[in-house]
Amino acid sequence: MIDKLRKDSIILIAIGLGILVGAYFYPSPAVVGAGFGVLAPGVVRLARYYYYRTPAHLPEYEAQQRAFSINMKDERKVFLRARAGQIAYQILFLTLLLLGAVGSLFKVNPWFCLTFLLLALFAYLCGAIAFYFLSRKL
Amino acid sequence: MKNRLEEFRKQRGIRQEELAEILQVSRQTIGSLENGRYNPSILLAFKIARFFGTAIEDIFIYEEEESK
Repeated sequence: MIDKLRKDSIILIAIGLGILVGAYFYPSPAVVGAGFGVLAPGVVRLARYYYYRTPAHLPEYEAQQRAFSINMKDERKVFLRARAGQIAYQILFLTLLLLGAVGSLFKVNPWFCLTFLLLALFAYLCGAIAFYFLSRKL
Repeated sequence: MKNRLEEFRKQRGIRQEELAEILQVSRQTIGSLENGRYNPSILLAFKIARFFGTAIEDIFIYEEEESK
C-alpha cells in the first residue's frame, strides 16, 4: 500500500519535470505553473512516503488508508456526494441562465450572454445524456 | 424509518466505531441510522441483520404511514 505512494510520487515528479523541460522550449507562465503544479504534490507525496515508511508511523498510515477507503465506499457518503453534485449542478445551471438573461437585459456584450447561455445548454445536455446512460445501465 | 439498532448494539456491548468497522461503513452512518435520519440500503440492512443474527424486520420497523 505504501509503495503505491512512492510510485505515484515518482510519476508526478517525472511528469512535472517533463512539463518544466517543455517550458524551456515553449516559455509560458501557464506551462511553468502547470509544471510546478504537478511537481510540488509529487515532492510532498515522496516526503510522506519517507515519513510513513518508518515502523513507528506505518500503522498510522494504514489506519488513514482504511478510513479513506471506508469513506469512499460508505453508502451514506456516496449518497451525500451525489446529492451535493446534483444541488451544485442546479445552482450552476440557474446561475448561468440568470447571468445570460440579466446580461441581455442590461445590454452587456452579446458574446458574454451567448457564452453563459451556451454553457447552461452544455450543462443541461451533460445532465440529460448522463441520465439517459444511467437509466439504460440500471 | 424507526429501528432498534442502538438497542441491539448496546446489548452486544459494542461502540458505534466498532460496529462501523465491522460493517465497513463510517461511524457517522451508524449514528445517522440510529437517529433515524438515514435509511440503509437493502444490502447494508442485510449485513446488519446478519451481524446481529436476527431478521431485518426485528431491527428495522417499517410503518405504513412512513410511505405517505
